[in-house]
Amino acid sequence: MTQRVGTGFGLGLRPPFYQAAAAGEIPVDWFELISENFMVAGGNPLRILDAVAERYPIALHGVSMNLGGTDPLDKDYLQRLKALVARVEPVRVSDHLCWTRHGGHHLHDLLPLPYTEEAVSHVAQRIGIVQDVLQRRILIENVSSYAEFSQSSINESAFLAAVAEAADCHILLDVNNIVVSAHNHGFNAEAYLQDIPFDRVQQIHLAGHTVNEPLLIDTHDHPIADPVWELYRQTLHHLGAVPTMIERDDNIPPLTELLTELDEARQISQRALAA
Amino acid sequence: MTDNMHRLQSEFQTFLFSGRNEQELQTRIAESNDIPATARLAVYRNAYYIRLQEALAHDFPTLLAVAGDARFGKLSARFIRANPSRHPSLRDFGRALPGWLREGEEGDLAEVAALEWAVLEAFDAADHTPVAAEALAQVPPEEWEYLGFDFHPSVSLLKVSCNVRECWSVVRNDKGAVPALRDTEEERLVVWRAACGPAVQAIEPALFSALLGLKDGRRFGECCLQLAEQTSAEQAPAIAAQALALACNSGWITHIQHDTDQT
Repeated sequence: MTQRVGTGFGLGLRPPFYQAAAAGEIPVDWFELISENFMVAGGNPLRILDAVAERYPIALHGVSMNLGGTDPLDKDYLQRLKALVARVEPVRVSDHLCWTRHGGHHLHDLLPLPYTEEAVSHVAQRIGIVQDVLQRRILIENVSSYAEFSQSSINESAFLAAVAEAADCHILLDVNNIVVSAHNHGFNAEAYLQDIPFDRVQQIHLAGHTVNEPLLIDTHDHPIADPVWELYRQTLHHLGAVPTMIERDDNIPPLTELLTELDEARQISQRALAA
Repeated sequence: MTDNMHRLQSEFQTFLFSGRNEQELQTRIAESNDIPATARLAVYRNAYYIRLQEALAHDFPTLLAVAGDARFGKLSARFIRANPSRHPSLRDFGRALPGWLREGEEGDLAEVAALEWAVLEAFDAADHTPVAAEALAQVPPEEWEYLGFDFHPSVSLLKVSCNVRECWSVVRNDKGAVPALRDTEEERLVVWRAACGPAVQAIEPALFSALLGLKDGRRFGECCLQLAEQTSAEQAPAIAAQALALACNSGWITHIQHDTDQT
């Protein structure tokens, strides 16, 4: 469980960088691609996908698996994901610990779950189905949240750990999401880490957020904030070397700025490992 | 087993769609940090509408330019309420928009949306290798009558009755202010994925009729008979052959069915 597939530092691949990535011109160790963006029949998206996959290790990251929903898992979606996995042979496949669909309607958001034993059991069982279909372990990511439910009986970090243990899956730890949710719900971000089964963490997300008092919003449209860098340092003290990447989805700066941020992550990691 | 989760998600979804059960849902939200539940829930409801409106604006930039921000904002909000997404990817969310516009109060914008959706479909349609332009020349003349043709999945044929193509071209090529939408003579358009990306071309009505017939699966001979009703028995074969040559030279044909079975 402690062995991590590939280390190094990557970026979330977004359209402004498609051509450069397809040409192998971006100095990163790997790219993370949004799975749904490449579940298309053909054309330029698949040409980009194949070219990038030829030149870089790929991680596939989904936003619509609906692991926490009560609708049945979408078999067609899973088969299309399975085909995509076969096509690019990704180093990791991930989605979110949340629900995204109900009554056949997709909400296109990462919606919060109640942190209950019922939810642990339900989500773990669905992750098991997905892992059987894909014939591999997946990673589940902690999401940013703006509301928690009064029926929750455990805290978020314990919920994440319980689901990962029950499903025997990996974790994609989003450090920005911990900072955002800690602010929004008043918990201690460093204490959150104490609950995490570190041997299951196979990847880290870093991102920026927006301050919209009294809440922090997970917008991925700003540089990484200082509290996120600080928690990243703390996280690496526990984890050691973990594949790390930056998500930037809006207000996307020139590539050089993202690469500079990625260098900062690299340096933090080197210092943490040397300590 | 999951009754509690199911009920909670139903209530949450109702709130996202309509907001009408907000007070009831607020009682479900844990108190923390002195942040009111109404502010917490508002983040989700705002994000739901903004994300879907942004997806429509991304996929229908000409519609946005022609309608203007205010009208587009209103019509997209109504569309979102009437057509919750049934697709895992936002890429598919606007699929129903052209039809919804056609049948509703915004019918004047339907052709704009239809053209933009055809362009989007062309962009990521399945890959198929077109037949070589010379392939037809190798078929003996006596076999043409029974030839059928598979079209590239990116090819769409549209009739429009306003200056949709002009508006689309201005927006697509970033050529300044979009012209006002105005009625024109009916125009027949072919949308497909060329080597450089999605393309839109106007063609003559007779060629369009021929292509429509062939794309619908008619054999070349059947297509000629149909065309003869619109033109003349003498002209029809030449028009159908011209349409076919255009289709082959443009890369719209991916397979020639050599079927001599007349039944």
